[in-house]
Amino acid sequence: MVKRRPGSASDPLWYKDAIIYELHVKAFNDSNADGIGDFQGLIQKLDYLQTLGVTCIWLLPFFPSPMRDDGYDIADYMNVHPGYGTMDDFKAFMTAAHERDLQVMIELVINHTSDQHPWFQAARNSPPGSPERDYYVWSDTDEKYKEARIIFTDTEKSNWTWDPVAKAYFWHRFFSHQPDLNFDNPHVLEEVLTVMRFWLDLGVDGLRLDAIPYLIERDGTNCENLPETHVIIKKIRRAMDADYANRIILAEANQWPSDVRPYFGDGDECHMTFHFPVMPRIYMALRQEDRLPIVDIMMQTPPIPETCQWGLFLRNHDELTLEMVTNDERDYMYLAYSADPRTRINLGIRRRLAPLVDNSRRRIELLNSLLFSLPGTPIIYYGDEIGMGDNVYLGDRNGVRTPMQWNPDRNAGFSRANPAMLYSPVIMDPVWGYQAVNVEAQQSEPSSLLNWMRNMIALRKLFRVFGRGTLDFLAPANRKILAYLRRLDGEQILCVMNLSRFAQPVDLDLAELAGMTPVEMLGYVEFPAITRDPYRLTLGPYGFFWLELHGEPHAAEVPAETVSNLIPASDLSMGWAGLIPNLEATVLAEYLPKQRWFGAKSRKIQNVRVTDWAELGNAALMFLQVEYQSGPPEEYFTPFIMTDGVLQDAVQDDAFCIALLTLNEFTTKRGKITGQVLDADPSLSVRRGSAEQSNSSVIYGDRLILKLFRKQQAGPNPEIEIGKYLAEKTTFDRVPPFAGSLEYIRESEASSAIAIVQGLVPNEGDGWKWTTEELERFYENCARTTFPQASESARDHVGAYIEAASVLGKRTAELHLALAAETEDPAFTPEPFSTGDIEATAGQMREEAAQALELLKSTLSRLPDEALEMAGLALGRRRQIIDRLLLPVHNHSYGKRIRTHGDYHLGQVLRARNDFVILDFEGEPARPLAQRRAKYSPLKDVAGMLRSFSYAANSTLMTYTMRHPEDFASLAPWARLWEQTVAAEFLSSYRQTAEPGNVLPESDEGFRRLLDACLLEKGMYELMYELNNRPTWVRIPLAGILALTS
Amino acid sequence: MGMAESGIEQIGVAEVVVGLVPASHDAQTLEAAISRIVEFTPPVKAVLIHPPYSANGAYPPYTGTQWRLVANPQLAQDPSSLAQSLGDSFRVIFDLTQRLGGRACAIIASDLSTVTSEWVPLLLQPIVEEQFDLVAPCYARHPFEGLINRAIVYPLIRALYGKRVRNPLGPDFGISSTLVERLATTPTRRVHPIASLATEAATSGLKICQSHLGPRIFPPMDWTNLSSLLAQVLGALFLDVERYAPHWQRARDSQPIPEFGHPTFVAGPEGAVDVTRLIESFQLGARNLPEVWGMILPPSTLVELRRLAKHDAAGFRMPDETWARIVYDFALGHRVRAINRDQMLRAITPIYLGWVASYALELDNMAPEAVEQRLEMLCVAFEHTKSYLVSRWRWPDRFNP
Repeated sequence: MVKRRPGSASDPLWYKDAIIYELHVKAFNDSNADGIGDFQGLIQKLDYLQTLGVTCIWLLPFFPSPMRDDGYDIADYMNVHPGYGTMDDFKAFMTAAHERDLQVMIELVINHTSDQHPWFQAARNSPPGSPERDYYVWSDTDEKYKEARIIFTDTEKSNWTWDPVAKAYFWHRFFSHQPDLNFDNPHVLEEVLTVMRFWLDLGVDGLRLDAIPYLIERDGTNCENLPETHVIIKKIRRAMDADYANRIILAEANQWPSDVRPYFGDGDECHMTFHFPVMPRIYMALRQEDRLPIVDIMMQTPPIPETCQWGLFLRNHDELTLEMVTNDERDYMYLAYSADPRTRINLGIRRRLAPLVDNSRRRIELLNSLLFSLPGTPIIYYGDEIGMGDNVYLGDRNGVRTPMQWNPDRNAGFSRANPAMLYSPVIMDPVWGYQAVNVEAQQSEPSSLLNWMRNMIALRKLFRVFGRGTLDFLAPANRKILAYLRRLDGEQILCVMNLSRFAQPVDLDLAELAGMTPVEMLGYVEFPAITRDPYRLTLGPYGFFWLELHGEPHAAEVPAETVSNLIPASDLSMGWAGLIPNLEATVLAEYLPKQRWFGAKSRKIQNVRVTDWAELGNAALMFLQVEYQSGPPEEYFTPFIMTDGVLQDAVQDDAFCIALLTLNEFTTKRGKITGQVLDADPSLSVRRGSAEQSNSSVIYGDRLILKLFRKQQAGPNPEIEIGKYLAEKTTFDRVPPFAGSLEYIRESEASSAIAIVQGLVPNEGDGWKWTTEELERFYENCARTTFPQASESARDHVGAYIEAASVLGKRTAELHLALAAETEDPAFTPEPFSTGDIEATAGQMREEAAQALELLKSTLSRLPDEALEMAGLALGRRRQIIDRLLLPVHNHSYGKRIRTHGDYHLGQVLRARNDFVILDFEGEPARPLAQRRAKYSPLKDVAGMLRSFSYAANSTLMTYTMRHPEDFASLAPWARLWEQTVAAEFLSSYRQTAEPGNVLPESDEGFRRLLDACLLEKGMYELMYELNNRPTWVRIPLAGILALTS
Repeated sequence: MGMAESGIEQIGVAEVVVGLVPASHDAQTLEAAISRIVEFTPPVKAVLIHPPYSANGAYPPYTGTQWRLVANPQLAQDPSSLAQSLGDSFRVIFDLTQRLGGRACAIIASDLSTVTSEWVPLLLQPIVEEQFDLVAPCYARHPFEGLINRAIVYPLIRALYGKRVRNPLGPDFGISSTLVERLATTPTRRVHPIASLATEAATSGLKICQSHLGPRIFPPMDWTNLSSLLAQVLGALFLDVERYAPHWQRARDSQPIPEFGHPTFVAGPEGAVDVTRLIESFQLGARNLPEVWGMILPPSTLVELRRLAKHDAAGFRMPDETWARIVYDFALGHRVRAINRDQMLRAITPIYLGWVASYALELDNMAPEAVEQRLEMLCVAFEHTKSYLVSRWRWPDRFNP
């Protein structure tokens, strides 16, 4: 076997822990005073790079070139540009770099050459069809490949250029002097491999493949990311792996993460690719003081093979590219970061890091802390470690490619040449000039940015978790705070960042890490231990914490309510069968009322009987019949395990949770459990949800969630029923994917649902949380703003939420259309609203309204002062309220009755990738199954969501003005404006989408009357709830009721 | 082909290798040591590699035993560059061990006149029979022998890597083929074969133990050359501190390691030690080196040293925490290259002499067991102060207390 030639690194995955430093030889250090940096000059500065702590040098093109695209127009692949030195100089540089444990990466620009390259000169002078001609892409017309976009929009009008010598058009994706190579010609690939081997033989550790999405052209496509391109890359990789060890390929593919993912292949294409889209979003998050852009793009980032890695950067030699953002986002970025139009080029902004953030040291540090802690290998652009500036007066992107500023001497210490000879003027203005910003000064200043960067790099290198660990975002309420956990082999690091210019508090939910102690990593300072309570931190403006978590988390702490009394040791020896009499006699009656999911806490238990049971591993699955002193009995499903004589909910046991997931058919003493879960992988990690009230939920890895139904009711469970129906019979996909269910069948009785399993949807939180966070920001912005007069400007103030409301309205309508589709399944067949239905519905509404008003009257004296006036008004409008609930029958159609969500509000949707996913079709768990499966007007769901908007606006206003009481008067109209604007948008979008389905009342009048009635019914329900539970909130439903009846 | 090459080829394979690296060219001592060593009958085929010094030009072949002797001229100690020459000799033995396919090797670099027939089994049996990877030595010595190890090497290695290896720098070791391979595959510029043995084993999760070898004759201390010796020892140690930073920053507390053989104690010289010259050397350093120390040590430590320099023997005590922080600050200074490394390492010499004076005054007529307890207190101080090093290492800002 031929031994593969090793690189300078001994670890094959060295690039995962690397810190890459990108530099241009010509810009770094000039040793021979000709005004151009060279390899000998670079060698002199290697100690500087070693001290800085970087581990890999990425050299921009240094090959012979006419230099019309900063060296990316190569005229000779296997030589050194004479201005930069000789091949011997390059070899000396390689040796010196490797002696310092610095890896070296160079450019392999294979998409195109310079038009001065001998291959192109031969091609244009050779006849069509000749082998020489076939090295490039030619055409007699410029009409081919029309769908391919133009990348350099500022300079190029077409991707074809007429060549008068060849008398044909040649293809170029970049400048017209850079003809694209023809990779359909196998000889071209052979040439490329020869070039690759040439440099790898010289010890180069990595190759950056420039512009690889464009290697292949095909008609009818956009000529990007084509399958044939991947075939070429795989061949290059195979050739590299065959003869060389520990070398890497880094791909430049400026695409969305999902489009970049194929460039990793199955670990058989590129080792690394740049993560282009995260970069502008880091800047966006900073300017908006909102973590969402970063979280959103990272959630869209697919997993990559184990041996692959993302390359992260804040700035590079090109413009801050805005290709991978939406049009709105691009507009925002231009406004936020390029007030001076001269800084714009192509689809981007040509500025360095420090000028982009107005030279704020805190912002630079924050951005670098992100760069060093997000998953991937950080890449630092030369000069950014000292906060170098740029020169917008230089053409193209040359303003960010000026000489490195070493000291305050002539030419910034870069060269001893006459300043007029320099390849580029040095930066000289008072703020960014080399007299103010240079390495020498910063080396001698302990608090300089350079020393800070050196320390941060050294710190990052101590922890492999940064380069190799997993990423889990936390979702604190304060969206100005970005927080995430990095984990690797038991090592855990918590990163918390304040994106705001002001100090911010944050409460982090770290309950699963309770028992561990955070140690601030920069100063090795121990913080208070984590408990199950929210972990409170306060961060200064643009502050950040890297916290190393020491110790072990407490073993999954069992909530007190899940543990019963000790079972006598004598009983334990008899197994579960022997225990049951004791459980029935005393234990269960004490155990059940302590459970969060037990719904009859106010009822007195008379007797608990185990009606059926079975053993599953160490656990016992029990079906309990609970009889009360009054009222009908109930049945509950409760799995148990026994630990050291303590009876405990088996949901706390990982092994049981896995057994439940993989259960197919299972016999109990008197019946059986059936069902199946798709994709039930027993190797998934297990954690437990905490927000459930009447059920329990178990989360498996990042893939599945199982909801365990505790209260057993015979008959189809609406959540399973609708989940299956939507998955199997409709195309509506804005729901979690249905993955399976478990049902219990006892002898000849009807089945009852035990569990539903659904795919876990990556999201940014539920709709309620997301909305209230948006409202917090809205109130904060509006607090000092004059209330607008024109409605259009009001919409402007509400901002991005309008679009969200519109999307939500659309999704709600699509759900109703899916549930209203014609079907043979009687459970889902839409039914008309008959006269009897209308009268019955309206009658029930009036009855409930009357009850609510009676309750209001009887509790009047106990209401808070600020609600009294509103309550009096509502009682005075009793007649109007009842009238509103009289639905005229004649000459009115109220659409159809269909299956609905049944308990629809913002808490039942997830915000996911600028869209919504609708959850939880269980209906009101307290209601009987028949009611939860009944058909209603879809406007009941619509009313639920509209009321939820009202609750969000008002409850957030209450919490906001608790901190800022002086703002209540000025913000109250803003709250109404928000509610009205959002509700109108939701409703408009809903009606527009649902109209064709004929589900809704035909006339506007009918629509309005039915919707008002549903809103009023919901308002009355809320009124009763608040009177019974939260009298201080009673203002919210009262305001809604008064608005409807005014 | 040299003598060593032909010998190796004839032997083919051996399970264990013993290498002798004597400090002097004394042929008689070498022969005597060899004859004591081969009194031990190894259960497996063993090769003894030694320098070619001979009184009569030949060694008995020890036919009929498991021993095979190979003379190798590359094994030697050069006092002028002790670390370098010992390192080279260790590498020769590692190489031969690998070529012979040995499971373990033992290296003896102490004065050969103290070597007994028990040394080889004590260094090799834990590896061959109990799968240890490194057997470090424990010696019976009086309180004023091996002071650099007591003052710096042992407490530092113990605090950083969490293993209580009494003599991390040996120089006598038993080494498994696993550890030999690890060291052989690491580029020589990154690892010193002696200084890195214990750290490499500790950070790789390999099994370490120590064997009580009894008394060892220490080379007489050359006080005039102390700065060079300290620079050599600390230079190698601090390079490892830098290299293994990701490991030692995660190690917490320290654990004892298994021991073989029986510990013995040696009483120190009777009567009070005259520390006057030591204190004078410290005071001279305090007068002449404040600029250099100022580049390495924080103000609070400088103030303490200045205060200490005003004391005579009666009140001269250097607190353990102060000494530990000074060693840590020098390790950090070495990493950040505060000044020329050699110059910096030499600048610790007066402070070290101050520590020796303080130690001698405390130990005045102490029982050997009490000396051990005193040493344990120093080690605990190093462990307690470790967080100081971690924090300074992570954020080496000069603006500190």
